[in-house]
Amino acid sequence: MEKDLAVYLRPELYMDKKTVTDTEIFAQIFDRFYKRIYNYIRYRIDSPEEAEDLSSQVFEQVLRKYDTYRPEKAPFEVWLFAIAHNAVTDYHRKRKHSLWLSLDKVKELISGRPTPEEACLGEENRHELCLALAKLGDRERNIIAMRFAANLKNREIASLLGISESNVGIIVYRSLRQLREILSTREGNHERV
Amino acid sequence: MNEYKEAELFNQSLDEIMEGKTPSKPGDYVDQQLFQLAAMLKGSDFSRDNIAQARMRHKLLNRCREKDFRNYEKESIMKRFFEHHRTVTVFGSLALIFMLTLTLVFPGTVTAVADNVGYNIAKMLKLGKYSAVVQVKDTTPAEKKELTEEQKEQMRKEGSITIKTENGEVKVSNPDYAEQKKDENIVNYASIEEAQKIASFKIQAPACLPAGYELKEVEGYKGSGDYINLYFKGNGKDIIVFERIMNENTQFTYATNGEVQEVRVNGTTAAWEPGIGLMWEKDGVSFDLICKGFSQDEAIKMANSFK
Repeated sequence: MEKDLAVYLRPELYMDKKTVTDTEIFAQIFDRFYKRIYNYIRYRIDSPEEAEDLSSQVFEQVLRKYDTYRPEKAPFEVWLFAIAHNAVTDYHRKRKHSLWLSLDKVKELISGRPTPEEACLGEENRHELCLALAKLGDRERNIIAMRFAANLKNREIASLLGISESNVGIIVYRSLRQLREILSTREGNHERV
Repeated sequence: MNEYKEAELFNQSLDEIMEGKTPSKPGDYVDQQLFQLAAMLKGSDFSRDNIAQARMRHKLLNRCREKDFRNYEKESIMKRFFEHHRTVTVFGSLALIFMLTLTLVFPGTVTAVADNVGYNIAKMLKLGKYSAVVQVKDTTPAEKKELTEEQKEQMRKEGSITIKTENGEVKVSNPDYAEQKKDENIVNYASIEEAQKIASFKIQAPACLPAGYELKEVEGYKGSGDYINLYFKGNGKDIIVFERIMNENTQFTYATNGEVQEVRVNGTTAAWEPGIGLMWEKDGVSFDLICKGFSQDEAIKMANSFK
């Protein structure tokens, strides 16, 4: 490893100085960030299986690209979620070429029928949330995913997307209001915000 | 209150929610609903499929281990030994990992280390972009093989051979060949100033030396300005400094089963191996300060005086 991630991530990930092989460092990175990466991707795409594949791709890219990480430019998390963001963007770009599948998925979403996994899990709230997220615009969905699934701060999202922090703040605010309205409507509660 | 102000206040409360706190400003009915929604979003975890996660983790870590292994294998432990055998000679207690282990048991016996060599690495210190120090655990030889006469002849002629074992291919090198090659390539200079004329980097020497020590020898290698060695003699054992410019051609990993400690030298990470010396990389140049018999404090004092 030309660039030792342990150095860049210290002290957060460099707790045990004996734990310094690439494999062990990567294991710590994976354990620490997997859920946030997966949830971020899952917020942005509708298929759990494809979210899993994309998460795997993101961590593979981390393995390949660590040489390009520069700590003076951005915190590690911002760098990591930039990879995830780009992976999802590429995914959506490719999906445009397979519109049939997308339409199938949209029909499924409109029908309100849970995917097999969701049905199996019986997590109604999460299912409802997926449906509501699917109705947000791509930019709004991305920012909500970064804020809540990736647990990034507005400042970090702003840095990642190249927009102002206040702009991120207002998009988060509006998107949450929109989500609340969508969820209320689905519950049969037509209260207007 | 305009929307921007509302958003600003809302995001302050949101920060508190994301930190697991209760919003300090309760807000109105709509705000409270949004807070509930935010809390729900924060608590939503889709990554419940632990089997898939474990499978992915296993796959990725295996890939990483393979990469570790390939890196250590290719990053010039061999190169260090062949091109700078003197370093290895001076690092007398230096022991032994992978090919180097094999080298030292030559001739006649080949010891093949276990296939997952990465597991035997106790510590690794990256000194810079192109150099690292690895502390390995003592390993039990997994397999021994006798070299054939043909293989021994090849070792004499070519300096190394590759042998297939049950654990994969291993390289075995001939230290005598390396020593012979080294002597043919050594160039001696009258002074640091003279060596500086051909060196591709700024040669540095310790301004602070133990009493009685002085520079006795400056050497480099034919046709290369990338390596310079300085020898200081005094009342005790020689103090030796190996300097090299760092790039893809000169990169190395130094492996030892001695204890490696991380210390600071001139504001950068350095590896201290008790009884051997200090190694660090600064401004694209690697420095090995071999100072057997000196304490860590004395070594760091010398190292900090390099200029």
